[in-house]
Amino acid sequence: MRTLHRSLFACFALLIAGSVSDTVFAQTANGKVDESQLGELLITGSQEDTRPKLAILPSLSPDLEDVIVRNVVRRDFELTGLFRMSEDKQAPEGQYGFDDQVDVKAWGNLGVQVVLKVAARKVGNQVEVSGQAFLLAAGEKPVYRKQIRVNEDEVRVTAHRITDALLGALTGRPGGFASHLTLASKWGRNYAVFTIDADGHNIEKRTDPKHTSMAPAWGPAGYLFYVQSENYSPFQMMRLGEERPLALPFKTSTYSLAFSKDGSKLAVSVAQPGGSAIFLGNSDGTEMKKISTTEVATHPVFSPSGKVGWIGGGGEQGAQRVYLDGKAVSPSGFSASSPDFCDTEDGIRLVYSVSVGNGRSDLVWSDEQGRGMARLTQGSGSNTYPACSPDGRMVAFFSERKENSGLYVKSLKSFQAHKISSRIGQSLRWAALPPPAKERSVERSD
Amino acid sequence: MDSGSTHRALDVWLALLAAVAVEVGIFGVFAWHVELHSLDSQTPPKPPEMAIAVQPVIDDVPLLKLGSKPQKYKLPEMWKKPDPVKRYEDKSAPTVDAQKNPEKLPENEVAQADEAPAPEDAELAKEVDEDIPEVDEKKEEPNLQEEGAADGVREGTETDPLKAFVISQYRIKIIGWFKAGFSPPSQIDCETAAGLRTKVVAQIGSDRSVVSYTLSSASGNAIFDSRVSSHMDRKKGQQLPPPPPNYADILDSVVNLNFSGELPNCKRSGLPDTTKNDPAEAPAAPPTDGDSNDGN
Repeated sequence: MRTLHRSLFACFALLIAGSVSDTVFAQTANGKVDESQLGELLITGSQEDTRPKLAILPSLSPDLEDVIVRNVVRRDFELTGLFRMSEDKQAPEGQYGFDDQVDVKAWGNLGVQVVLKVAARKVGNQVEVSGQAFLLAAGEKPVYRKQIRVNEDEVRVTAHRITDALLGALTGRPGGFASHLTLASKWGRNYAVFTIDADGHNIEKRTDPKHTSMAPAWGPAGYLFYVQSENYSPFQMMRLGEERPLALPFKTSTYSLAFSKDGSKLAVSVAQPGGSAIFLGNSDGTEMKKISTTEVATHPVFSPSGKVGWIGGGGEQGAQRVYLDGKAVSPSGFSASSPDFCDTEDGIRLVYSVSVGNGRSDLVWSDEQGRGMARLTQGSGSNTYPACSPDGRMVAFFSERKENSGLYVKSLKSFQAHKISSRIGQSLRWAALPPPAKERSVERSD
Repeated sequence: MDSGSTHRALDVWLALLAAVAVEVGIFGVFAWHVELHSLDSQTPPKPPEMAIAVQPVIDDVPLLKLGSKPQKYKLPEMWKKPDPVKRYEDKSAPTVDAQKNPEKLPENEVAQADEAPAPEDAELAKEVDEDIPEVDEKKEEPNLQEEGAADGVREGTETDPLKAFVISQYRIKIIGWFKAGFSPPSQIDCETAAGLRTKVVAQIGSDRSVVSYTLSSASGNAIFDSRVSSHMDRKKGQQLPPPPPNYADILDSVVNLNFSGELPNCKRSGLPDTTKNDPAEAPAAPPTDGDSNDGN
């Protein structure tokens, strides 16, 4: 009898539990109760520009620092392609001084969703640089502000830092404009190493042109490394500012090098009998181990996921292909070169150059494993040596054209390219600037 | 002496028995009576129904009704202890603006000379029981258990406007990702297509890939539902774009999708443009190379 009672009770309990779970499932499946942060997503067949419209307040100040900061930030935002930019001539009438209030409603009438106010003014011997973000949906008060006080010669880079901070606030991913590129370019008879700011300013020759300096790469703590040959001697790895080469356990030429994101690992391409090989070890050159198996292996590069990629080929392998941790990830029918990995908003992307005939090359990209290859350039000269920005939103490359050859930066969002310098070269690498020695900024989210 | 023992022992015993019998009988009768009464009290007889005339008596000072001005687009408030409202008795007070020959004298009570007049917007009552002190206009900030905005809604989940903005951007990105390669079938007429909705629940793995999906609500149109299913089949195994690093937790393990049959070509002409290739069958187009500052 007791057993019968227990069985009946269990059946009853099960019936109740079943009906409850059915109800919960139905509610979730029917979308009536949707507690996810994203909510229900409406998928249609239409395509439209969904980028938010952004305005940067005009600068009416005659002060040079104010004009510089405002123009730098505006150009940076244009380069990202993340926003539809409001034109300056559309700006509503009003006061645009450093301390003037922002008429958010007037901008809202123009269809603007985000308003940025960036300004600079002298305070004694220094310059105060300010950036504020207003959201139309959040009212008259800024939702984010950052103020930095710097020396006069730091105004331009500070403007880039303001851009990066504003991008971080508005997108959840900081920008990569406080950064610099390095490249090897012809100087007289030899190649020399150059550095240039991310916006094309401050190009500088950094090595002695009486030696051949190639394959520069940014290393730990922002140091610049490269390989150098004196009087046709084997290429040796150097650090900028030091006269003696770094101690590596190789007597043959070192062709190229790369450091991991955290600076703890070093990968080098070293000449071998009949070809070259990739060695991976500690950043101080110890514990180097060969990781490539192809006859030729050059141009090592680290993926943000920590994997090592390079260009391998020759002999049985045929055309040069991109290898990732020993596995070919680029198509076999294309001669690939100079790979880099972009940590984009859509995930890690492999970008590399492919020969397209007649001595021309174009940039293609795919996912990290080489799937879904698509062109990044077409019909615009010969495009080589892609280098991803630190935030993964842009790719820089050399473009040789009938006119307007030079160094270009392309947004990986809008796919618009902008020329930032006329210099052509090779071995392009892009890295973030080291943080300022002493942070003198005030950051606030209201 | 024998004269003292006139009764025999048998008589004594008989007398005792008779006395006990009488006592027991009396007790039994008493107990039976109590039992009978208790039963009667448990089941009282139903009183006969009779009509009673109820005459409502209206109080001079009616009770105030709980409520507020009706707001059509606002849900009614949950009950909470109301704040006391300062009310004033409806009295006439002397004023310098009074007419010299008024048509009619006020009928209500006249205020005392030293009594302060009621404010213009004060609530009036015939009679005020207790004097409620004036409440300071500056209300104390509500101390709720959860952080939020004063103009937010109970159903809202986000307290940070910047985060809300970033989430909306990420939503657009995810919509674009699911939209890529999808187009409603062109053989359905515009009117029918516009009303088609197929709801899909996509399960997302820890590596952001689409693990599986279920059609939680079909549109009823087999062609459209089939198109949605085949589109989701292609998405299976693919990775969604990562959430922004500053808000890495905004992508949940389930994404609810609502596929619409609305055809983009119908918006202008009213008829689908069948001359164009169906993007669902076409290979993914490469990104355009829109350069500036170049003449090539």
